[in-house]
Amino acid sequence: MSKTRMGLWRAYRVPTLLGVISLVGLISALLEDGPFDVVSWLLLGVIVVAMWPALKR
Amino acid sequence: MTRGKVKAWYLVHKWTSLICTLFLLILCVTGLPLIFWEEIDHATRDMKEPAAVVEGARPASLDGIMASALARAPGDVPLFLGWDDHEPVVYVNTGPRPDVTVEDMKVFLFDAHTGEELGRQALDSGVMMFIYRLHTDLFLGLGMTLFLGVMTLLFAVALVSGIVLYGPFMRKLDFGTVRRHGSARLKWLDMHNLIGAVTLAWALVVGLTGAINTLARPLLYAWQAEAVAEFSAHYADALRPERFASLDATVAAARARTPGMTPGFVSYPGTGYSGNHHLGVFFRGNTPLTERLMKPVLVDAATAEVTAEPEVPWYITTLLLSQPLHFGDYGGLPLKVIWALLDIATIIVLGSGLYLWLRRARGSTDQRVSEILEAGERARAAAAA
Repeated sequence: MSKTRMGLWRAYRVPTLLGVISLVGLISALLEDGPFDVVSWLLLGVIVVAMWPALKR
Repeated sequence: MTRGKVKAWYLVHKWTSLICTLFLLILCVTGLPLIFWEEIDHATRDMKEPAAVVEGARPASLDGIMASALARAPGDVPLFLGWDDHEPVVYVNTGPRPDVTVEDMKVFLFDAHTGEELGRQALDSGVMMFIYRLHTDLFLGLGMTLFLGVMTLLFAVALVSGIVLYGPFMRKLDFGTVRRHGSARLKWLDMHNLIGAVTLAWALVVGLTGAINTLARPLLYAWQAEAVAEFSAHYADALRPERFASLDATVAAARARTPGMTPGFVSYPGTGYSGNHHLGVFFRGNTPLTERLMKPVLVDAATAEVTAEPEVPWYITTLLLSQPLHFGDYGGLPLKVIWALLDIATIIVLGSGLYLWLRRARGSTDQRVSEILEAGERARAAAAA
């Protein structure tokens, strides 16, 4: 892998993971109630927590 | 990515963002209370609570409920009868004519099991309706709704171009880097990038489904013009019946054709949903996804015999499926709270983007591009110093 591609992978790997987590969280609660709702809360909760570095002083 | 491509994406991000930001801020701020519409409405409405439902309780007669509603609105005709999604409540819409606008409808609420009247609802007043109108059309009608849809599409382009620029900007920085020791602008630039990248997928989904929702009225008109008009043509000679068949018999006949589904609402002839000679019984599924979809069964309004079960066109299905992903009302109160937090995060991204543009240093576009390409080196130089 070239140095540039390595740099881009380094930049995008966490946002890509968070994007996948968001989509699974969004879809989960649509499929069923109960445990699927809880999965949705937890996964989308991860997205909220991931903003913490921006908010801490 | 070449410098030329970064410059092109930078210009796309800058202009799409600048054009849509003010409108998106309005949509995000007005959308915040709408997430909790049901809770706010429940807390502020002037309505008696429905009685606790005991095991094996039978639903009240729909004919009885409709008769009660019409007795409270002398001279009116029945328009719709529907079931609340979450409570044992049945609502009845009446109006002076079958083709009245929402403003001229009356809404009566009844206990679904006792048939007792619980109250009345105004469809076009109240704080939540005011916020809803601000959110959907700024009180300027369908043209503004469609314009807001275009702004939302620009927002989606701004998000995509933002994440394209995120790569070159962050390739030598750790995820979550917020440089607090530099200028305030640098700190807000890092926060803008971080929160934007974290909320990207959610914001794209809510934005694009919002854009689809702006087409709700035209799509509904198209459906009525095509499907309903085609069906009605078969009964062009049949007049609106003077007396309607039993509503209970109508719903029972339709229910027999749709096992495993729940009736959502019944439309009366002339309301635009089922022609001039039929009652439309619209069913929904029982999962968070399928409860948004509609399955219509058309029943002869004079005889209560099922006449047709038309397919709902793909564009109406797409519209209905997109709605929960825009409203965030399909996973209980915790999901609504998360939705609100992500909405606030989007407001911060929009506000910080505007701040970054207002506080930009004097200089050319090439200097902005250098800022993106050299962010990592500058951060390391600052850390070494």
